[in-house]
Amino acid sequence: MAVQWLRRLALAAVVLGGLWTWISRPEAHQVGVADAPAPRVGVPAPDFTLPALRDAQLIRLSDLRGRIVVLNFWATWCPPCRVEMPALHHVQHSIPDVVVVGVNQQESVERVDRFMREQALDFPIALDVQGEVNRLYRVRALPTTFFIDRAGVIRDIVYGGPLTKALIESKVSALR
Amino acid sequence: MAPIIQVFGFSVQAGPLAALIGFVAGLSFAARLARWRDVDGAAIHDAGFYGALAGLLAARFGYVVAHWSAYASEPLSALMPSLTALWPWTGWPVGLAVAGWMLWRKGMARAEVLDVLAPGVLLGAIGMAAADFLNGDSLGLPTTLPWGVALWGVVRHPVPLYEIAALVIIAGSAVVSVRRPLPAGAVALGALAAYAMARVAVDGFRADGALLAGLRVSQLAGVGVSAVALWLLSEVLATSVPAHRNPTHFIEAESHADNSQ
Repeated sequence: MAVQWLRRLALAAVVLGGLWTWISRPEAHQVGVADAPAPRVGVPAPDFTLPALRDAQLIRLSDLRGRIVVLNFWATWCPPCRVEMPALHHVQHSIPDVVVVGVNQQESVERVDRFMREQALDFPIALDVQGEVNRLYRVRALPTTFFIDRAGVIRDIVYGGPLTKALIESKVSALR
Repeated sequence: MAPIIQVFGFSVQAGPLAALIGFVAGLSFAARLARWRDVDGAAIHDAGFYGALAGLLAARFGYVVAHWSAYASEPLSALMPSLTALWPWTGWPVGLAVAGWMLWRKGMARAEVLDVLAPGVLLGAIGMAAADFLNGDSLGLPTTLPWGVALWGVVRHPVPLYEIAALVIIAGSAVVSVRRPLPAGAVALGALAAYAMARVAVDGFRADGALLAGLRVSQLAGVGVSAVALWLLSEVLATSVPAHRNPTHFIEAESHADNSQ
């Protein structure tokens, strides 16, 4: 009795399951709804413009399209952020077509500049004085690092640190 | 969505934490259920623990080997633990192989073990679904229903919550079934069939995932797996002899009656 019932259920699973699979198939316009810029893997990175630490210039993320971007949120008071800075500096200068952008979190220009000089670091630093890019990327802990491919799509996110040189290089090599 | 939560002043990744809680709870639960099927619960616990440990080490080793050009200049950094530097293609096979070998060595490569593991695995899946929800993964289609969740600026079906609801029902049914005198393997096959059907139903509300000819691959796989699992379940029931129809049961009962006379 139960055996017959189960065999009928197996048949029903194929028919009804197949029917639901067909009815619930996504429309073309629904497939793309997840592609709006957001701070998550697989979708375009939200664009932003922030003042650079040096040269009185602006750093606009969309201007870096076509290059691999390592977007690192950091602050001088954050110990793991300080530890991983030399590794980020090394990657910026050793791998072509990679741009490391450090987004400093709400600290003064003087403080950030002094830290960069003391550590002999010279990769681009964006000053997020108001914390607006922090909110845009929903950064809840420092450091947080986004790996963005040449098309501007986020391919990996690393929460916490410190990142080693090898880890950053391995993440970047996956995007090359 | 909360990928990072604060625990006693420390920033913790919510997704991996939920997955870890699901794994530990599932393993402990499976070990506790083992006594209902005359299975060694401690052996299940050990197999799960060492399997997970071996899987993590293999995943880390696989990642380092796959990116050796990056690690060659500073090989000691390979020893630094990192949840984002793991390679699942080595981790899962090695973890499962070690757990399976430990069970086989104890003579536990039996269908009863799968029955005992089924509720625990489902509990672990609840943890994974919770991790998806906290990470903001498994996007649902846009909806105007009152239980929709705002995610990345759009109100969407909370697909991981649907999955959790289905898993709770299936896991509860599996726990009840483990305590019943069903043929070996029946609970595991029933749970597999129910889970596959739940995926067919729930994934109909997903906005991501792979497509094949315009249909979701996960749903197509779910249809196939549920049908095969139900068919195998019917075969298990057809070839097994229920306890109350077991001829030896009657012989024992008759001899017991003779002795009492």
